[in-house]
Amino acid sequence: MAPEHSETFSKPEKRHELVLRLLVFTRKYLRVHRGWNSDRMLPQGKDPQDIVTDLLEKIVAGDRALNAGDELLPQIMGMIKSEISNLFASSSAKQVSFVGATDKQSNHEPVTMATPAAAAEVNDLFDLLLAHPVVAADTDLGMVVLAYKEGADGPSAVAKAIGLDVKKVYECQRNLAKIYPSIKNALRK
Amino acid sequence: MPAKSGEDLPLDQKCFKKIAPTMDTNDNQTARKLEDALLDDGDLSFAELRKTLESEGVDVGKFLSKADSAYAAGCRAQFKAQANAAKLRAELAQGSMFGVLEFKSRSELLDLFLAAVKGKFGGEAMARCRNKTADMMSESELRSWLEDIEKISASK
Repeated sequence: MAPEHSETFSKPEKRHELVLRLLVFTRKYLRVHRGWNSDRMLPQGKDPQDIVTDLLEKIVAGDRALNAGDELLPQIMGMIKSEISNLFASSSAKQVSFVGATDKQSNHEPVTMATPAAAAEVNDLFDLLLAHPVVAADTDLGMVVLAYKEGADGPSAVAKAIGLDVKKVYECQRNLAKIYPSIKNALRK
Repeated sequence: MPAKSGEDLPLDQKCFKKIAPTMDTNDNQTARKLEDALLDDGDLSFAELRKTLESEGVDVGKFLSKADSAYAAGCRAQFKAQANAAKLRAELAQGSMFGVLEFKSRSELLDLFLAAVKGKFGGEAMARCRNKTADMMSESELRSWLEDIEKISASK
């Protein structure tokens, strides 16, 4: 492991911050893209904590390699997405169904627009977001949605484009994450 | 110049495009950037992350202990893999430094030992042989000594 990465794992305070970030990310990813909530077990009886700690062990053991020149957190987040995808793709997962979630959310495919999608479908997504009562009632939230619709790349770019404090942009994003699953469900009906 | 707040800006695409005309509007990238943003909590401090998880019912202390255990297990696995690799290298290297020692006579072993003292097989072998009195060593002792030097050199 590259020296700049190994320190993040070997120093307890850095390791603890890393794993907390990864757990928050994992839980949110499962909620937004898999319709999961904490009342439900994941395939193979796992929970989000297992996903993070299992991956941590594999990375430290050398079973999963990190690119020395790349940032650590995005790399591991990519690995987590891959682990979740593999978890749901396993044969035992096909019997797992989250009550209340759509069939697509429950099982095979993540509910994501990051696949080749018709321009119309992407426009529909943003239209539904803008029309959602929570967004319609909050001008700042609407501006954040519009910024991303126009291709903004990240909260700093959004903050600069629309003149909002970056912390406020992050808050708006977290609010959007809460309503996003319902938007995706509406889009697929 | 962008507006100070969203309050005085109409939700109008054309107006917005004038502010940020260079933004990439590729649809797949647009959707991906939005979804990445929904998962982005990069602004939260360690304390805020902890508070977020606790508010969701996570026992953060227990999770951090579990993470520490996973880290320790990963370290043990890594050390074991490295030790196995070193052992394998040493086994593969047997015979590579001094040839096959098993069938050499005592006088041939002694010749190798004296050559090692003179530095023919490198500084490491020379250092290890320098303070040893080969005359007092039996054939099997001499053979074992040379084998050990070979293994040590191979593992480095």
